Amino acid sequence: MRYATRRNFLSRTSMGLGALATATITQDTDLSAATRNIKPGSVRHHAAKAKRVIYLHMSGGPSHLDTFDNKPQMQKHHGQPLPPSVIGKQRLTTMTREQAKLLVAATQQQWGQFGQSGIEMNTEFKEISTIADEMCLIKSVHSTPINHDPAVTFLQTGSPLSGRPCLGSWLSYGLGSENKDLPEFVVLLSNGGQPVPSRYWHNGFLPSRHQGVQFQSKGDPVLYLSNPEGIDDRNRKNLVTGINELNQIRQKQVGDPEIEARINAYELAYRMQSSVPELMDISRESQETLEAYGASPGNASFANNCLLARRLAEAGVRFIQLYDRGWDHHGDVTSNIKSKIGQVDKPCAALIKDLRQRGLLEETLVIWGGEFGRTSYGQDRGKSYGRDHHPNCFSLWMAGGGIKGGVTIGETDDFGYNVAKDKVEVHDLHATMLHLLGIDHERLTYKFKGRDFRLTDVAGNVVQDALA
Amino acid sequence: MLLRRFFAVILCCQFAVNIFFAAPRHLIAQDVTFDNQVLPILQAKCFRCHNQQRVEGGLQLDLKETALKGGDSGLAIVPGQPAHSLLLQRIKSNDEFERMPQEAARLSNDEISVLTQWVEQGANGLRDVKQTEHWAFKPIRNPELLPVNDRTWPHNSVDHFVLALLEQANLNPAPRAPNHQLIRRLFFDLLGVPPTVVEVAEFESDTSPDAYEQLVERLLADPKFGERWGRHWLDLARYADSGGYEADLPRKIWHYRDWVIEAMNHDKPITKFVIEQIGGDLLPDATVENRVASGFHCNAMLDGGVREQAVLDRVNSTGAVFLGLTLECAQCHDHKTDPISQKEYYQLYSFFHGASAVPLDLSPQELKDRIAEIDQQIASLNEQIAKVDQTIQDSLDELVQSEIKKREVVDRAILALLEIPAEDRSEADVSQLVSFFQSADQQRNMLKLRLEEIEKQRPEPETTLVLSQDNRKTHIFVRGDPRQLGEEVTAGTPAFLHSIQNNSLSEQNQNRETLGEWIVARENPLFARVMANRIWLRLMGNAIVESEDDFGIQTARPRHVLLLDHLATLIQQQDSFKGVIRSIVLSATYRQSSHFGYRQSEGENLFQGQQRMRLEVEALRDNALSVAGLLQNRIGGPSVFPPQQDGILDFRATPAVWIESEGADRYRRGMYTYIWRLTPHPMAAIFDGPELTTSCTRRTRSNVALQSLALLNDPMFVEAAQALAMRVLVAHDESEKRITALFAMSLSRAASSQERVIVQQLLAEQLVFFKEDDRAAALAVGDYGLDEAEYGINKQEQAAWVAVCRTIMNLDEFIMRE
Repeated sequence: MRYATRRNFLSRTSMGLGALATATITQDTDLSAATRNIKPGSVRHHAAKAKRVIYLHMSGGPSHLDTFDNKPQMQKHHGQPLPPSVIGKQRLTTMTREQAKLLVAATQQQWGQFGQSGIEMNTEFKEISTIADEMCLIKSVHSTPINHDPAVTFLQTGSPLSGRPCLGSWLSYGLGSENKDLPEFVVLLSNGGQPVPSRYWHNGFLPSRHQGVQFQSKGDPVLYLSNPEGIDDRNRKNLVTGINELNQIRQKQVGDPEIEARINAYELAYRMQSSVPELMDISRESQETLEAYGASPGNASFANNCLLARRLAEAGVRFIQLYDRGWDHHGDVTSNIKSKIGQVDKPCAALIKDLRQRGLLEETLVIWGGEFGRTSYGQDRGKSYGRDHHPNCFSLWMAGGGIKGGVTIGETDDFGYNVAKDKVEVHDLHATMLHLLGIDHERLTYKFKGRDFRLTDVAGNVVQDALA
Repeated sequence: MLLRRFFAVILCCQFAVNIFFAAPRHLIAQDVTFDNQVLPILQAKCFRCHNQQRVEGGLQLDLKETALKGGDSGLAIVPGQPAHSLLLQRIKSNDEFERMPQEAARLSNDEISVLTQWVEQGANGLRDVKQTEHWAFKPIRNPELLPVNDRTWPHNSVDHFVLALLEQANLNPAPRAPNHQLIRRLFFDLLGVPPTVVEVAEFESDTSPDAYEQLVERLLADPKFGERWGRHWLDLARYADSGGYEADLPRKIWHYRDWVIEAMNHDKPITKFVIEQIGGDLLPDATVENRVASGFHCNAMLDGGVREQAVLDRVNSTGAVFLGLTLECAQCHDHKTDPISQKEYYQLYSFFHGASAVPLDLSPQELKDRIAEIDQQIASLNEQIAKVDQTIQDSLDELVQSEIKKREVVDRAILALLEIPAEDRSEADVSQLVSFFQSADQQRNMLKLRLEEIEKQRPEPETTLVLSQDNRKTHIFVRGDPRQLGEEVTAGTPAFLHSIQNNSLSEQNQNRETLGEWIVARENPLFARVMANRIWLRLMGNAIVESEDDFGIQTARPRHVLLLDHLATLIQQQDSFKGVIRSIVLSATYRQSSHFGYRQSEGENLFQGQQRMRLEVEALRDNALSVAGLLQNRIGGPSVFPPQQDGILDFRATPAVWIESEGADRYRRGMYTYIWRLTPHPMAAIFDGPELTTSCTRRTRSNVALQSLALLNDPMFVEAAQALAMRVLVAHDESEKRITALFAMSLSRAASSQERVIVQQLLAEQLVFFKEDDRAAALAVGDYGLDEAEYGINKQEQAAWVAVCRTIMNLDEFIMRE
């Protein structure tokens, strides 16, 4: 008799993925959960254009002056002091504050105009230039923090101080899950450079089930995902069944709903042990696809991560965050930026094209950009100059998911130092992103410590010109 | 637009608003009292804009006369006539421009009922209220025990306060938890490890009337107590082994950690415990221990250039940890709700301004001797090298001449140098020539090699960070910006609290040490309350004041304010952590069952029943290792590196080391695991380890799938299951007896027949798996496998028992303190 019960339980856990999946990825008991005032996963303020986001973050801060914001006027001022009127009251980092002179450093890149729209960019973007007409380029993004950590934190959470929920957590909270076997918010990292701590995918005051989960394209795809030695799938299933049967007995005895949550968590953990490795295995992609991305199975590269981003998007993951490190070019920006562009150019373009080909681009918002731009003056490091951090203005592009392609928004001044036209604040980007996903940024709130918090704090305007 | 501005004012300050608790529903039917029910709502929701300083809409609610007079729009409070009272209309309004409060969360229905009834009943008790009038700012008075009907239930004074409110609400306390659960609860709460089978059996069979009391005394005297409660304190101290920020450089401060353990174990008086941590280095005749204690504030994150941030953190942590005040709100402007001016904030800043974290050498004499010896050898070698160098300098011309004669040099650059006539040599030429001859000198090269070798042998001194004080002037940071200096200020404490000057020192001579005395002074209404609340939270799972880090004006008077004051009085009278912990764990309140069936939803804040709490990440590990018989008992010492997954340290700016500890250090308690702030051990990240950037006054308890994966697959947990399985197998040779032993070892109880069936079945199924695969069986058993011949137990059976043990170690009950 008992044996039959066990079998029933097994089939329920293995096949009835939907049946038991009232539990999403996780459950939690945060006290604050009781005070929330929207039903998680229920937000639809208006018709959504996009269902998910792939955010390609170039960690370190790519130079806008050497990628998307060409300033030919700087050439004739090259080597001359940057006029104090341009600098104004802008804060400088400790790295250049002590520097004797701030000399204009004109770009040494080749520029061209691409697509029917003629969007201007560095010609090193051999592939991205071919998707110019899909892109909405914003040259006038404005931020305030001048160091990496607060700048990324600001871009991720709407506040430079850590402790608030990240973009992906807000979406997981607001929109919920499309795939009960996977987390709603997944993070992929590549290359060396600035630290990318787990705070960058933290849920802040939102319940912990909205936390991002880091997937790795090399080694264990998720921490602790692999069975211990000597244990196979069947064995694991048997074990998890035993755990949950005993937990159910306990649940009946003490009546704690936490135990029910834990039973669900074990079921999901079990499912993830099969679904995640399958998802992360890119070896079954066609040779053509692998080549288009420049991906090769087993690597922890940005190219692999872009391909994985597409697979995650297909599987219905809500927010896919990529961090590619190594864009902090304090020295020799001219050759360093070329080599970084070389690394990301092909995979980025392949991702857009692949999504389009699969009919996923319309419903997937892709964002490309860093945490800030870089200074128009050179940072003195020997013969070849670099550039310092510069949050005053920088470039970022978006594509797909209800974005109008072939558009350039905003302008900077002749030195690419300040925004000259159509400033777009970080909160505006957030408002726009939420808008595309069908969310009114003023109405996605979470009550914490007696206050309704929003991603956009007290600001944020949707960038109308970016909308298709 | 106006609304926008309103929000901008409130939202600029992210810490301004606090949790508010509704008045109890059951009290509404009775007469509403102004002081206990109405005032807290007015203070939390109305006074901020409608006070003497800021008379928004012409309405001032904090004086009786003006409150009754009303504002620009009319009468706010009309006693006996709710329908005519604008205040009630506004709080109920659905028009967002009309609805009050504009700057805080909407009133709950319970709050609205309280205010409505109060007006209906005649708005009795309305009176003038001072800005600083707030329950938590009032002196702590030892409250009289509350009378109770059931005289048999209370074990001690604590129970009178709890039972009185339960009786008022017509609720019964939960029954006493069974003995096996109580001993487990006590072990986890006081020591952070589970009881052994023998300890449980002894306690269950001890029929003496004070068996429980004796057990409590034994545990309070156990040195593991210091580790358990020391770790709680380290959360507040934001203890870590690295400096944080992007660089996250390693730092040595584990002596401070050990000082905390020691202080807890010796039950150092709470007052001394605090004074030494705030200003131990400034005590007259400060001992080494006093100075080590000042490491508390050395734990602030530090990143070279931004020293101010560490000082700000010291001020803010002092507020959160010892005062329950959100001082940081006064960093840029006067505090919006609490009576703390920006100037007062920087007066507190001034205490910490001149303090720097410096290493204190604590090397044992042997180590010091060894270092001195090596330093002497290094000096002597350097001297010999210097002599050689001097000879080269002095005989440069001769050397050049002989080199030219030898014609051995082929390097063109050197040849060119050699040919420059002595009188034409530039300084650079000379130095290049010198280094050429230096590198060619055999004797010098030998000396250099030896120097290198000896330098490698030089051990690092054993140091710990302590505070060291110099004098600096302090200015207000205009709008909180350290680059914009305002008025100069001297050290001082907020005026709304007691004066710091009840010592012999003049106003100018107050320092961190006297600040410590000021914090623990009996006149301080906050310190003992904040401490009592936090200790209660640890032992009962719920706090008396839910916002454990904020006792400011926004925080409503808790229902159990008398219980809080009783505990605070115990703290003041006994000056002992162990004392107040003893009072709580001996109470009948603490001994209640955590079974949900005994708990009505109303009972949450009334402490009807105990809470089930998932073990913290450290206790989780200690529990598993303890049951497996692997846990090491050694206390203190440098932090250790138990196994962790590859790749954890990859995404850092500066490299970090994780050389896996071997031998006993692999099995130390969780609190000794090395803490890199930027990249903590993954188990800490997954199981809600403490926030490491600032003081952590409370950990969250989440329940997520990643935790299930970690418990299933973390190598330490797998290893513990392997070790436990072998203990079980060796203990008995029959599976029913083994199941009995396993449940006793890991859950401190007997297995039910239903559970036995499931375990037997699991065992049978696992045996089938492993019989098919010998290799898998050997792998599953790992290094703990028993010799098949010696014990007569084959690998398949061993592997099946490992699986059973893994199952038990993944149970909700196993990771719960119930």
